[in-house]
Amino acid sequence: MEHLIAEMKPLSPVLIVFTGALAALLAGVFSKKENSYALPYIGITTVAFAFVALLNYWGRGMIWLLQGAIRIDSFGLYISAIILIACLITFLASIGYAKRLGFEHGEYISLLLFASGGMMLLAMSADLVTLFLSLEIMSISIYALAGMARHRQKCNEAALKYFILGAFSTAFLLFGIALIYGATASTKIHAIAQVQGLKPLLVAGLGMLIVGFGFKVGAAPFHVWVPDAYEGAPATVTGFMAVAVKAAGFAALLRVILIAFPGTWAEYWWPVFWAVALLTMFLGNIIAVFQKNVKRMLAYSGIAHTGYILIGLVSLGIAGSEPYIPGMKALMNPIAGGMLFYLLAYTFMTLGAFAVISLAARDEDDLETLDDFSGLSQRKPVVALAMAVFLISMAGVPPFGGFIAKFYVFKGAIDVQGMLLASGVKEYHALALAILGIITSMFSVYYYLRVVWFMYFREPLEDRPSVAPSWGLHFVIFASSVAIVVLGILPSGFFSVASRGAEALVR
Amino acid sequence: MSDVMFVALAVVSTASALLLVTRRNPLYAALCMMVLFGTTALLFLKLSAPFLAAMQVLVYGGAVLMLFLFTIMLLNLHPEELGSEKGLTFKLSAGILSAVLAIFLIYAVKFSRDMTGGSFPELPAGSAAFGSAESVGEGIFDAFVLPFELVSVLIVAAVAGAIVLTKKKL
Amino acid sequence: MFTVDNCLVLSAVLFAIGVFGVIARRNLLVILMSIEVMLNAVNLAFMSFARQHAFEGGNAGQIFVLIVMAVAAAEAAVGLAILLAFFRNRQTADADEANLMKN
Repeated sequence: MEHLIAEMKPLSPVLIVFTGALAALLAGVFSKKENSYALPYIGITTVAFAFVALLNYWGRGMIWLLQGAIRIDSFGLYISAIILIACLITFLASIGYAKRLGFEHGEYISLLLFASGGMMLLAMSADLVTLFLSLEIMSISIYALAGMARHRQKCNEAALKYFILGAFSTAFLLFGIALIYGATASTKIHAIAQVQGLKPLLVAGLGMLIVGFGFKVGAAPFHVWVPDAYEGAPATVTGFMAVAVKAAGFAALLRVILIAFPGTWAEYWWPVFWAVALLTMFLGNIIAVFQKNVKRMLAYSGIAHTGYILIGLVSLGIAGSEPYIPGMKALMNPIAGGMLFYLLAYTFMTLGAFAVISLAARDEDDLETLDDFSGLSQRKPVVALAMAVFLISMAGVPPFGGFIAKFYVFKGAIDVQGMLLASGVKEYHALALAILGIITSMFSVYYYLRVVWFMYFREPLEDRPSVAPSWGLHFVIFASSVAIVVLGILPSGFFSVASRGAEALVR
Repeated sequence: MSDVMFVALAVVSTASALLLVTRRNPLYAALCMMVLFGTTALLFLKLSAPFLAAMQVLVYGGAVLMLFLFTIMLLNLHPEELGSEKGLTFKLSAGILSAVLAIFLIYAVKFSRDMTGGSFPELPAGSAAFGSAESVGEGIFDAFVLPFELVSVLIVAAVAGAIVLTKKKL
Repeated sequence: MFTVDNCLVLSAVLFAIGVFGVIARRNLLVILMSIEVMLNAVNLAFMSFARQHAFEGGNAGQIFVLIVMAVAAAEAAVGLAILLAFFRNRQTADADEANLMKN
């Protein structure tokens, strides 16, 4: 028993988060209704402690735990840090918002913490059993969170659609895991890589696994739940869903794909991701143009961002399938680092944008239609400025973090292409993807700037009473926009941290 | 004898699953689900896993099925409230889609016969090593202790979520 | 007849039937039950593989079956709770009635 406790020690960030979740649950039950304003602070404290525990393990190399169920490495820690930041921002933005929508209770805080803990474990799992269970802890908490404002019909609908498609995709993922277990007699991700030879069972398992993860990260054609779930869920939860679920989903996807199916396997999976990335970018960006609801537009733009991050995975696949080309291996770490940097930049701009949306336009609705945004610069100049920063950053316009993130991802694809051409391989898949990515990102400038235009060049509508934002919301909006500017102006330090995070996957 | 029983179980479980997805009234679907769970438990027994067969009956038959039946009673849908069904063409295309999926999976299974062909390995006579409560318990408390603990986290989260969504007053 | 691949074929067929149920039905209760059918099929596949690999790689397959059962129960609980919340506000259990949000 003591041995077990000693072994669990490196898992302390996750354990702190789960403990905080239980504490919030109990505090919610035993505290009086008028004291419920204090509940988010339990969450904030928990996240702060967990973050300190996390930093404690950064740079200590790999730690294997519990007979290979968990591998604590720089990649898992980096993703966990993103998740904790997302969780903290969500707590701060919920101050006031949760009360207005009637879900200021312990369960809300508790479920957010449970979901975060599950996501952190997901990013650290080295065994498919742990991976599946942590994925489920995350998903079940998020299903409930999406339906948190129970009296809103849209919210019920969002939870329902998210649940049905989520559970459906989980079954696919699970069948994929079963086939992989059948083909390799192991559930350890690192042991699966040892199995040589192409077996139909393993290929089918990989295919079903890709379907399952595709749903979780919201890649086309598995994106159908994203718009409805994002539009219907409460704005703070939507921001958390958009950022943390995507980061955790990508973490699991990258770990499974890059470690269990490396090298020559990449020839089989990168064409799939190539098609998925292309479809995701085009669908997301084109449908977003026609949206009148800003929340729904951001959902489609979130799909498009998934496509951009997938470009990195495709480049990694192409690079990995040509290991004999000198210099190709050296390219892989910066590409993966670029993906991780993208996730960090995406965290701040998306959470910031959803924090602005959570400012109520009317009593219970979010600030979500284009009309709600018209003349926002006159009513709330600071908020409008911050929103403009988030949107312009998402569009990929310098000097903000979103531009640098896109730059790294596209540069990775072009570098791989250059290396291929230099060694005489005349295939243009990487270049084509980068060019199409840049073209689709031009479409996106239109719909992002349309919101900015509404905020600055339209007269405010009369019937839009404004609610004073809480200090937490002010802080979130301010901090996120500062972070976006810093990521845009001084990216190199953050990029080297991201590359160190990627070292655990590709050196 | 063993083969006859397997074929019978396969036929019954496929039939009950097909009936489940085609029944209009959810109550009948739930009854089909009970049959399906029962046959699965028998298949587990045939696969020499008595502990998991018992768990299948307890968890699926006891917990999941009861949950569904409670909800059906709680909703108390009248036949006229069941709503309309999707059109025939939609159902047909869904059928084709799932048939394609089934064929794909069967193809994958049949084309890796070097791994999946043949009968199951013989277990040593009188051995309780596979499928007994001891062997599963050893796994749970040794190599898979973390997943086992995580199940408890999952259940707490699920309970909190279910309560928060349905309780009338919070 | 009672071979590994036939068990897997049975599990694949059950899985596909569950997929059909989720796609083709509108009654939410039946959709949730179809998801349970899919999970049940996965369990059968895990069990067959576990029996096949009885002498190698520990008993990960059996543990997985146990875990899938727990997850199925938890998913059923949350799913039915979401269904109840939806039903309270809308007085229907029809998936196609969930259509407030459009492009």
